[in-house]
Amino acid sequence: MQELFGIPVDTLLLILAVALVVALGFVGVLALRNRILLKLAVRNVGRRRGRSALIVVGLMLGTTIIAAALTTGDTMNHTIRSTAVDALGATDETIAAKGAVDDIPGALGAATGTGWLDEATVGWVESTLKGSGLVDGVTGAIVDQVAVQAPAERQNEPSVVLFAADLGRMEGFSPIVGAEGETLSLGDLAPGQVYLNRKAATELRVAAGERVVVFAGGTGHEARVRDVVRFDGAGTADAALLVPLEAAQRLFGHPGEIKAILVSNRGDAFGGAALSDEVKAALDPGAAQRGLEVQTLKQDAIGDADAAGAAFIAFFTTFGTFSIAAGILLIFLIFVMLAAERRGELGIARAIGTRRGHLVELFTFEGAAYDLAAAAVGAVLGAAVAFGMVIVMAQAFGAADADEGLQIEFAVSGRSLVIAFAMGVLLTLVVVAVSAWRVSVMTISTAIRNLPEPPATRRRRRWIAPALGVALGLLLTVSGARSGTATPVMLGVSLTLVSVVPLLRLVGVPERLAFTVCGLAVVVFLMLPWSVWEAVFGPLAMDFTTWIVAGLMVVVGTAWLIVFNADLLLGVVMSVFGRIRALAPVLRMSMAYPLRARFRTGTTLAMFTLVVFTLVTGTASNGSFLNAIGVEDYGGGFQVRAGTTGAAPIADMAAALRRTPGVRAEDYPFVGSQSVLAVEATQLGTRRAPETYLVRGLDDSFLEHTTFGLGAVARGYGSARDVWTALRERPGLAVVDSFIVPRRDNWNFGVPPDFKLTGFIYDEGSFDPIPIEVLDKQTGRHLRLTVVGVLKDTAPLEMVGISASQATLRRAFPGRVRPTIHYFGLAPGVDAEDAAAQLESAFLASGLEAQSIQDVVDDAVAASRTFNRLIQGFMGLGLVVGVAALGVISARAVVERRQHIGVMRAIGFRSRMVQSVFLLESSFIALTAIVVGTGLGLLLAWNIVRDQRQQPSWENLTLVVPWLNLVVIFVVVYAVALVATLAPAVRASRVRPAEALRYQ
Amino acid sequence: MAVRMSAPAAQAQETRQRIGATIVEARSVRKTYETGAVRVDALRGIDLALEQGEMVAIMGPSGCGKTTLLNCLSGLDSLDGGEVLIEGTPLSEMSDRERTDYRARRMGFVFQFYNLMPVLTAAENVELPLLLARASGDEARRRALDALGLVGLVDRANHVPDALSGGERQRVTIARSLVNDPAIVWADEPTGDLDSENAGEIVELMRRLNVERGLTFLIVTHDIAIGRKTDRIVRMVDGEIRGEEVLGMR
Repeated sequence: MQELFGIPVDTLLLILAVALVVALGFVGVLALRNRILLKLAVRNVGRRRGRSALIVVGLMLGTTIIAAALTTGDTMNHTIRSTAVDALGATDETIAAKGAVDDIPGALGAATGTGWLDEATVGWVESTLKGSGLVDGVTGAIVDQVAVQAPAERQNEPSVVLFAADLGRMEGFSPIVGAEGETLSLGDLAPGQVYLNRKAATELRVAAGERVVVFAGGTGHEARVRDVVRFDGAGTADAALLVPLEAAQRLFGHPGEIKAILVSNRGDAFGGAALSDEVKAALDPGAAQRGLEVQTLKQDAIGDADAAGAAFIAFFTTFGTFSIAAGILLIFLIFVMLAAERRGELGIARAIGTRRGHLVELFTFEGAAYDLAAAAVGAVLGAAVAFGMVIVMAQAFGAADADEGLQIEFAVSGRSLVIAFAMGVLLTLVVVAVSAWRVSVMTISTAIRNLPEPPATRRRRRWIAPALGVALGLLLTVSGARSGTATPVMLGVSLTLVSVVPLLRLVGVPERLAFTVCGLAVVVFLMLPWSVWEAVFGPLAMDFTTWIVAGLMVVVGTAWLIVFNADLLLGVVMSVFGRIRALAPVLRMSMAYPLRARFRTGTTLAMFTLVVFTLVTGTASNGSFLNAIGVEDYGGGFQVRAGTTGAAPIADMAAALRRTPGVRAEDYPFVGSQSVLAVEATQLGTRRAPETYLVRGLDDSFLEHTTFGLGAVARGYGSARDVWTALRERPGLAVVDSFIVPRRDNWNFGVPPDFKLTGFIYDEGSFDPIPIEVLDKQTGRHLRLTVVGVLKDTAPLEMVGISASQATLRRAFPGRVRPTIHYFGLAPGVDAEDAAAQLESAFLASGLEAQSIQDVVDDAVAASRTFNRLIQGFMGLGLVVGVAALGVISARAVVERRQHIGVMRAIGFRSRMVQSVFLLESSFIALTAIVVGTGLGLLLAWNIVRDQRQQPSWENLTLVVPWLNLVVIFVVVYAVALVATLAPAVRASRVRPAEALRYQ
Repeated sequence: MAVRMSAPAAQAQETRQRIGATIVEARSVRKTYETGAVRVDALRGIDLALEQGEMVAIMGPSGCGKTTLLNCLSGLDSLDGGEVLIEGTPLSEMSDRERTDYRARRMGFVFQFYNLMPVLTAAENVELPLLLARASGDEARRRALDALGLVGLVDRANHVPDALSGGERQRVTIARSLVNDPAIVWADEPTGDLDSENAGEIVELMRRLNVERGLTFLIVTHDIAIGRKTDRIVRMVDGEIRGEEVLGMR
């Protein structure tokens, strides 16, 4: 990976390493100067090992989440790189006809008319690079899609990549390895023999010696499998068939010609890519003269892998932010409670001359010891968590793309672990230092006697900080409103309200009133329907930071509201359950402590609520979007879709259906067809350089029958139907996908296409027609188009590109745009699955692969659901923070309340009742957080759904709450929370009253 | 042991009337603590009987086993030998649950450091034993206020312990100890954390309750002034009873 959080990884590593060395060095120097404090700190660590372990668990969660996110990024990076190596082997560059190798995911189908090269061109490449020392292999090759049939096994595989290379030039490229591990050569193949790779052999269920039929260019050729081999570099990570170059030339009817020249750079599979720029520079001038293009495939694949890895890291760190925030609160809570426990001894230390700074140092030393251990464990645990996530992701991608079979391989880099470790250590150290400073503020006389800290004396100018907070809040609000950005507005309003609290207190407003009013105001403001915000502040752009800020601030407001009014809440509980006499004393005690210990109750409640809130928001809103995806969105009015090879396109599918034996043409009342072509596109009137993109030619039937919805239409067009009709009737019009258009809100983590349109906002739903120009690099022909519609967000990836009428493209790019994609409308009663199978069988020679739209939707939804569950699980890591917090609090409470427990036992509390008091206390916090977090989460999800329903893509969106899912999660979490509290609760119940009462 | 009697004749008469059957009896009670390699015989065969309505002080130097004896007699601690009978029932025959329930119904406790629940108000603290005895909320509140009235703290009923003075806190503790009409109140250094004026008031209060309500008190104390206000002083040294001083008329 090259970049992380927008910073080059090596630079980030260096910055973090330096910061870590400086921070630990500083702590180390202080420790050496005050060895007695260091000794005290170290002994405190070892004094109560169980609790030290609990603290380490609490501190490590932040690091775990960071490490898990980074390792997931590593895995995706590694997976994509591995796939690239599987597909490319030692090949670093290809030289082919311009535009021939531009590969855009989701194209479904292939371009036609891709140019062939004279085999002699290989010589030019060799001579150009000779003596440069840059490369170790150059060969001419044919890499193209064919269909293969295994007649004996009655198996068809419509999409197999045929790889053919020059026998004499394979040195420098990956070896062909036989079933026994021996190195084989294409030269070993007798006429009519082929090698199959393992995937092809598995899919066709054939072994060495068996007969297959290879369909190339629409014609079948019999062949015998010589061996099942392993070969990296066949141009695919999936099914492949290997033949000598000459045999392939015969199969395709292009003797003496090749499709590409493959170049292997010096160095290993990845190292060679570093030389790609030099190789390209050497070849570019000559290639341009010959109408060819040098593509740095390996380098591009590595770049894609890095971008995908970074996107995954950004995704998971964003979703992990709440858990990390909860983790920070937990660290703070742990240290404040640790200090509270030692208040007496700290007071004595201060009394005998220990300076306040020394106490800060003491805690920082102890914290650093926990911190280092926690970060180390957390980094390793994060990698383990990522391993679990990878298993889930493998299922998700497998379900989505079973044919492609993206094989996710777990990978973890040392750099990621070091970065996670350093970030964890530094983050914790900062929180530890801040909490150490906070706890060092004490009144010595009361600390010695373990009495509560008296209220702080009124400092002069106490109004300054809150007043600055209000000013900053207002400033943020105004600047956000002016720039039309939601995050600063939300942060500004919240900061203002939060800062008002101390000001209200200064003018004598009671504590409860001040916190309640401001807390409630924060919650109400942030939970207002988005339309209200926009009515006040105008259109505001949102992204994930908006959600993070809103989530954090809503939870602050909620925690205030609950903590300062818990007596009312508990009064209700008491009045209901207190009537059960056996419960009354237990209830009273279990509620009294959380009510009085506002700080720790509020902090724990905030942690738990934060995670529950985000989990519910994410689950409910994602579930709603997922539920809104239907066959209509994916099929655009058709029930089956199919793609053929570019070498054997079916120009008129309707006619083909009528004349093909075994096909009931009446089952397919209408067929729409598409062609695809990789082009360079640019928006006219801008100075942006042309970027590679895709054009689709939609035939008249497709345009007549399609119901694909549009999220934005150009002014002058009333509806999507109007636009499709206009495309059919008027040449030069186009519709584009919604990935390339500007939008107000940004909820995307994926890498956007390089080609993009500007000048309007998609969210507004209408725009002035946009002129663009596309260029077919191979022929050099241009076409001007006018964009008059943008597809909905719900359109499938297979509609990505610039869609114009087939007639428009055919005129502009003759021979290059024969239809290779077909959409079938089915007669009533025809089963789409059966129809897809029938079509594949009927058009095997064209390598037709068909799938029912329902199948596509099911796969997509299944993949999304699995991925959603993964996100839920990842966000649910934060619940561990909440559970750990309850464990820490309960453990501390047993120590703190030892004497009270003694009294309770003395005056008649049975040991089970004492246990119940502790369990009910935890239940109060956990259940309140679950109920309140769920309520707030659903409210926000409802707001999101309501807002999105105004958007053209999601008019039918409704809030779908996966109750069962949530109930299972929360029951498990509550059970785990109780288990975390159980050990301290049991310990409390076993406290012997006489012993507990003995000590003050 | 010298017997000194200075109580007026009327009080002596009252004392005679209220003291009844044996309520607590210790027979050869032994208790040993082991801390690492150190073994301490805290109680070395204590024999003691408390009569109903009696107010007895246990006195002795620090570490002599006073509190241990109180704990063993009240069932807060286990015995290593001997037997304790409460109202005729051996403690050893009671399960932990039965002992706990007995404490809830029949015993009250007053501690040196008050040991009130800091998170409950005075009234809530006093209510607690009643709630344990499954009184209704309303009844518990009424009786708690009555008890607080007895100790003169009705107006402080809704204050948390931190808002009360030491003397007030100890009065709340006494109110809590008597709210369930116990057979006996155990008091461990009840004035140890109070100034002399408050200490005097607390002792007077306990004495008044002893006289007026016939409550049995066993008070562990260092303070001879308190001891002199009781019916009997039991002196302990090194885990043994070394003498008794009967002050009230038996």
